[in-house]
Amino acid sequence: MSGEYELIVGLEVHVQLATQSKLFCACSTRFGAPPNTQTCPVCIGMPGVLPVMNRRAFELALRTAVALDARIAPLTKWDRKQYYYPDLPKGYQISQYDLPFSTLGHLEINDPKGRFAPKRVGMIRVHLEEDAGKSLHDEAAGTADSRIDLNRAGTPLLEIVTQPDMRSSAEAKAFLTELKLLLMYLAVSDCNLQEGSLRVDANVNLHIDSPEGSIATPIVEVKNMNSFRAVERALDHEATRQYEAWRETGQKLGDVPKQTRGWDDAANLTRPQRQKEESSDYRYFPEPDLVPVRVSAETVAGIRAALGELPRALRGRLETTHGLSTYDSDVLVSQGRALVEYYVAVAEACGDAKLTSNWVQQDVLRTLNESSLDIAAFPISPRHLAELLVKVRQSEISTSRARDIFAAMLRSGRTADDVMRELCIEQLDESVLVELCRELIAANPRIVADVKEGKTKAAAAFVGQAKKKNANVNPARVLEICLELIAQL
Amino acid sequence: MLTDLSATHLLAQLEAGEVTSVEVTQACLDRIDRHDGAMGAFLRVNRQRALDDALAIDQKRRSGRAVGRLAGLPVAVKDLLATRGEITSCGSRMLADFRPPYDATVIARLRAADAVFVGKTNMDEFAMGGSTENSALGTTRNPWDRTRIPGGSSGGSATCIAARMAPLAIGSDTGGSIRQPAALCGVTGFKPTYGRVSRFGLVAFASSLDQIGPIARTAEDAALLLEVTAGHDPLDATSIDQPVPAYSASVRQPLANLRLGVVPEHFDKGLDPEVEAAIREAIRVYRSLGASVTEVALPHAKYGVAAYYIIAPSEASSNLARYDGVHYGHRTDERAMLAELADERRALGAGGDAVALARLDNALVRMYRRSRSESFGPEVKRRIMLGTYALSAGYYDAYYLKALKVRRLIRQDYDAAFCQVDLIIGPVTATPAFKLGEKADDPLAMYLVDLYTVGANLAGVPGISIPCGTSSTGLPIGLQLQGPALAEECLLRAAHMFQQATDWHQRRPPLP
Amino acid sequence: MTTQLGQIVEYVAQLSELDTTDVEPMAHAIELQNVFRDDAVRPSLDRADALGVAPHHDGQCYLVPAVLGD
Repeated sequence: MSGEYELIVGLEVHVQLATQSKLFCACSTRFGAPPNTQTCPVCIGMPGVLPVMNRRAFELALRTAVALDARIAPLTKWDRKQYYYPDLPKGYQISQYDLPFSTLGHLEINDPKGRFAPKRVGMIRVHLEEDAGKSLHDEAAGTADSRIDLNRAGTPLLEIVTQPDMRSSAEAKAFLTELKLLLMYLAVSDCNLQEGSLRVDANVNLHIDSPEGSIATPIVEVKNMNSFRAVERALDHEATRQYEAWRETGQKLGDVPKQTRGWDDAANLTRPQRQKEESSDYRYFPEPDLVPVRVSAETVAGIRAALGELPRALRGRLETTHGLSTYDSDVLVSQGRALVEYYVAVAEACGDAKLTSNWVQQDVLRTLNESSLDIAAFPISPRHLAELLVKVRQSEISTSRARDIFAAMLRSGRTADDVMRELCIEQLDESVLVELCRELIAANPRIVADVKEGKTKAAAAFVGQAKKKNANVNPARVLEICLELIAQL
Repeated sequence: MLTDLSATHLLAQLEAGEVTSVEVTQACLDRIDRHDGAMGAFLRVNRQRALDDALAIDQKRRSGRAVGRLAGLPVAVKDLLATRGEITSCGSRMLADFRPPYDATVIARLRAADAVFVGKTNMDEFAMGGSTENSALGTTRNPWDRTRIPGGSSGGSATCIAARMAPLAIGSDTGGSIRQPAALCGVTGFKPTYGRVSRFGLVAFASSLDQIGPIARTAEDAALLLEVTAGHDPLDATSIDQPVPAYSASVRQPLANLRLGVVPEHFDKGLDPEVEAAIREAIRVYRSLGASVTEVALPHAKYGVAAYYIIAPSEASSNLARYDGVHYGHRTDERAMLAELADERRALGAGGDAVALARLDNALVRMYRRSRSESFGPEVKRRIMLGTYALSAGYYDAYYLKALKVRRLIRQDYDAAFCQVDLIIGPVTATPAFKLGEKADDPLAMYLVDLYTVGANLAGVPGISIPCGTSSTGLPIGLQLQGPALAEECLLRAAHMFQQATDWHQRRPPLP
Repeated sequence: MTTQLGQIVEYVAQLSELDTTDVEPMAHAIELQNVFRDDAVRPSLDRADALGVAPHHDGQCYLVPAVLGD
């Protein structure tokens, strides 16, 4: 047995769409409301009620699929997926079965750290369905009852199913990160894993090298991963576990039915879950209460035209037009379109892409994170920051001085010039600098002697002294002038 | 007697101030009190509320304020439509105590029209049946012969009209449930084009077949009720978004050059000779009114019952999945259920049957099973099983999908026929009302009663049933007219024409 | 019940006599498409009204026998 294996991963991602109201009724989708305060006869599934499709939900769904380069079906319909569960009040979920509104499509993933080669992850399909309610188990209360909250029932969900194209946990994490970024750029979802607006299940198996060729092991569905990091860890765990299981049992794909396992984050392992129903015969049939939807080529073209620049294109532009590194463009783009626009405005105004990128990544982002601000609320306008950076670029002020000015600009909202005037930070006149340098040289014959002997580095001491005499000196300039003067001696 | 007058006539009197709504309502309530004990049309009568509403409408009228289109007219409603805060049982133990927190759209429209609700009428459980014998909550008897069925599933509403306990009633029709009881009770019943009337709040049996419609004593009255209830509803995605014609005005205009179609296959050996004679006589009447009659073919009509009894139970099995005792409706006695389950678990454990133990229901599943089993009657269970079977993997293509294709063929038959004729004329049922209990052990025989009516539901086209004769034993015989989609006006006018030339619709059952 | 069901299934199976090649299934009785509603929020049911019809609840949630091993 060679024992080399390849991890094969496909992901199923459920995304709650950012609509005001639910998919089939006018109840609010707001997160965090007290249980059962956002329900109505329709989403409770009371006798006699009927669903009516939320137009915006369908538009957001289309937008997502177009951004994934998917094929949009000219005619799409809904179907009932039937099973019993207390959080599914109608006894069926309205979903899509044989004619989903979108098939195929792909998303490119990259790793700036180079752990995997850039690749394209394919989609199988994207479809639109309603969410179920929530089942709460209050074990502390010691009752034998589960508590059902239907607030979430009827929320619009996009189900994105990928091809089993990922070959490592890193690729899976990268895919999810890139997908989430795309969805946020499209403004179709909050993508908040903690609030459950983005949920991930994985389908995992191994392709094992053996003398007889590649052997596929049974597919395992992994659920209950509540963060991208958890997905990564769960997949790493599964790879090892499945390999051990194969060595023990030799079971191949098709030998046993698909197993479902839940990730236990605290214990760092997966556990088998009981099969929900003996047969997963969902008895799909066309939803009689909803009529089909026709999507014209014009509609799709219109959506495509209105998408705006998406992360991949934006990164490319920053790399080519601005000459930023892959790493830098990645950091900026992952902060969102607004921040990128801020960066671009500053970079174009000050003329130094790399300098701007550094300042935005370090100083601006740090400030935003520390004060939990959005870039929209950032006190320094792009033009004002650019003005400051121009001074740095032209060596008019030191970086450390610029940071002081930056901090003051944050506090006061004033321009760099105003702040400098207030703090008496002036661009010192060249003659003043020369005068100062002459003083220092006269007062430090030892340093002069060292420099004349070739120890140029000794002149650095002049910079420190100069700063003490006048904080506004330009350190680089002081060094230059001192060396010139000493050379003339 | 006030209760002898048609709704249209009563409305004129109400509008003219010749009679008050309280008087009309009281007359209906008196008649209900006198006769419904023997008839069983009503599951619930809203005596006080009806009189209060009637009084309020009388006052509104007297004060000169605008009143709704049906102001002051008593209406009976099949217990399949949601009425806010009042029990909507669907004839089932599952919902025997269920009070929906909302109104069906049709109910809301009737309220806005200032109708007076006198009560909810009996029906086959969840609309599944053709005799109202499947009601879990009461028996309804045909007013013409109380040993016989009134038809179903809107048996209560048809009986109410025939016995003149109210001038207007609402029913629903999925495979004939308005037209058939109307025929067996000697009244007028109308199934509109699918989508003409909103289904929001109509407890679903078969979603692609169900329609709400009027049951009344005349085409004129049916036209009035239809006009008030029809029209687009944003809460029903399958409702037609087209203006509602003034049916109550156009109904009185006769049709010149009416082209009627007769389907030869309708007149085969299964048709009772007296029914056939009545239908043929009706055709002769139409001829005398200037109509032309030609033969048309509906080649796939004979497959209608089979297609219907796959599609309807399939949709029903899904629509009834929600009755699980979790969010509303009947839930089994949990304590007893849990105790029983614990006993079973113990017994299996002691017996060492590990397999059976692993397979034993968990508490939730047992709760579902018991709640449903205790609440559904045999016909409902039968249809749920049939439907589940027809939709299951491996059978879906041969049954459900096949039935949908046959449905398309049936629709195409109608489309072709209506290129040649305006309306199709024929029987509603093969025989007059049969005896209570007669078909109780033979569900298939019961299904075959729907032979002439399912076609219209499958195709989505409208149909009306009007009285056209009586049998030698004094039982009513009904005539059916079917039209293309949105031919309501034509059907109502043709029905009215017949009712001007004949008096079958004015005959009354022999009640004191 | 079983006999009756068997008879019914046998009866409905006669549809197999018909040749339906190239016939489009008719799932709806109406030829509508693209029916939507606007994404507007309307007041939900009062919780008391929603739970009021429930067989078993605790004032906040519906209660059912616990389902373990979810």
